[in-house]
Amino acid sequence: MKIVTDKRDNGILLEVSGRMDAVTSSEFEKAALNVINDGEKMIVVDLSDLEYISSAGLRSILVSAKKQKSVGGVMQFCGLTGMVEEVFSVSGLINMFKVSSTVDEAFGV
Amino acid sequence: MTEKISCLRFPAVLDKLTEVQNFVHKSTPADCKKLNSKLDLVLEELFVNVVNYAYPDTKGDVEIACVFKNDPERKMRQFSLFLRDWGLPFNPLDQALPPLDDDLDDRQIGGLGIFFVTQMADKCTYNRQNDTNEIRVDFNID
Repeated sequence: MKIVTDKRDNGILLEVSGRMDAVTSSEFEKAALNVINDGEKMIVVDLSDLEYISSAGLRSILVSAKKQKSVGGVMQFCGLTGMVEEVFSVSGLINMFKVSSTVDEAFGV
Repeated sequence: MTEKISCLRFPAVLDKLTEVQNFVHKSTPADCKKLNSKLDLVLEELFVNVVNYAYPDTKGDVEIACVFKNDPERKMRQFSLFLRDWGLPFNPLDQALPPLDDDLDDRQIGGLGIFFVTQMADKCTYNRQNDTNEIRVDFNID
């Protein structure tokens, strides 16, 4: 899994690619917590290049999103495709978060 | 009808996840590769389950078997995944479905793994026999 952090005018973008599984998912949690601890109120997570996610990946997303909400911030998602979209849908996460098609749409550009 | 079986035993440790997935990929028929992400998910959830819960005080193994059945007469093709461990008796399919709350504050963090297994598979069965736990997951292939 690879995570690229990109500072935007109205928030921060986390581009996650590869596989978010039981072995790698803690890397996402770490990257997200870094950004949250920096006080970023708007985090957009772009999953368009994420090939695979398991319950361990969802767990790290939920832990990070709860933390972000607890400090008054927002975490949003965009670019869900294939099995990642299916997993978000089956688990109900798709209804829990604001999910956009593109990064621009998520940032309201 | 033809039946192709492959079977391998691994130490039940998280580091083996990629090796386990590669073994199952190799056992999947070439024209069923679209099964791969579903299969990866089911396999990961069940494997991690054994790693986390089967052997709390000891080290142990998990045996993984793949069975591909092709029956042209009945137009039936099925891929079945078996995981066996020698750990504590535990039927993961007995676990209650986690509440899928839409509210982030109320949402429970864990418990989704086995739910995904049952959602992705066409059929799941658990057997306790000869002091082993065996989970069988069937996928019908179109």
